[in-house]
Amino acid sequence: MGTFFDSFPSPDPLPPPRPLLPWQGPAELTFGGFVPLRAVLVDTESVLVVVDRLLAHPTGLEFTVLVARRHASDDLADPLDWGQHRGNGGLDPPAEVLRLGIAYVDGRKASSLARPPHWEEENPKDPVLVMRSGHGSRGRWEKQYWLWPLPPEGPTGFVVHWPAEGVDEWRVDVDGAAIHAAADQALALGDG
Amino acid sequence: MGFFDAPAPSPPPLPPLPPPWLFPPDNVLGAFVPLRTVLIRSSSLLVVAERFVAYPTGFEFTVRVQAREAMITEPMAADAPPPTTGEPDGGAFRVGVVLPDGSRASSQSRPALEDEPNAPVVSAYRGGGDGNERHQRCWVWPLPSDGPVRLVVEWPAARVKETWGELDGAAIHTAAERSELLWER
Repeated sequence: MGTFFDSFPSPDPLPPPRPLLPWQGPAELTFGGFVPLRAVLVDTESVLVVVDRLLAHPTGLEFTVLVARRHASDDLADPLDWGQHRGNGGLDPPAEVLRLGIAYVDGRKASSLARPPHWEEENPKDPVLVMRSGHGSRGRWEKQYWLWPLPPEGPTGFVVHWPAEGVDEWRVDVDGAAIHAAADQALALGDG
Repeated sequence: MGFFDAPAPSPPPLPPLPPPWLFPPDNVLGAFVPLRTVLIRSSSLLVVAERFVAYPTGFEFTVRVQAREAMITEPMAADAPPPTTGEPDGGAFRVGVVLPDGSRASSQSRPALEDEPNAPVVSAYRGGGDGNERHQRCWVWPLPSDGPVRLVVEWPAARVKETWGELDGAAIHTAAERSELLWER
């Protein structure tokens, strides 16, 4: 019979997780509507950057950024990971960092370089673009982003700038009406 | 020449590519398939197959599990190697498919690493989650023919009994034609 470890009381059950604030991600038990759009941001001889797999919610937009080198590669440096540099105290992003931004039709902007709001901030003043998950290696990366709030109807611009790849600032507009139509098809299963 | 100014080492050779029956090809950009199948929707649990991406050699998707009332305390455990005996491994998540031609595959099976299997393969290869959510990425090889694909999941540790769903195989098959070759192997 054990003695040492058995002498500690069993921990209390964990409290239920706090629901995400709207700018942090989709509401639980909701599934975005499919947006039939795909935006090629960069297509050079060496690399492809595509915005794909758009899922629209009433509160925001999920999408995936695919970065793929056009050759067999053992490159492990993540071009979308700016977080590891940002903590170093106001440094400009290195040229190797792929800058990603969203231009709303009403002039508001969101950027992958912006510092996200404090975790408990309920109503950020500006739109927020956060990377929620992702993976990659060997010249291929897939990153899932959440954009809050849902852009208004009208052209929505995806903006990219990637100095190390010789990609100057470039913008591709997608149809905000298609995003809104898809948001109307979002599923909320929480009440089932 | 300074002490640290040694000639740059030559880059190491690229590691061998994994066999196509185990993972999506890394030289192809897959095509998103607008599919979603709700497998379980109960008062305590939601299980959905979604985020389908089609390739010429197969398709990948995510099984997402979300608990409403009860916290999930068990990992899906599909990151662990499948048991060599084929015996159930203590309540771990399992996924299987039946392709339009009737051939079947289960994540319990351990596919060969060197010899191309003579039966389909489904592998659960990347997962995660926290709180009351778990997700597991799955890969099915080969690309099914144009017809219905049956999907089955079971997760004893989360009291998920064997549950079946059906996928639009034609949508997967058609989407694969939109995938893009990045470079030749």
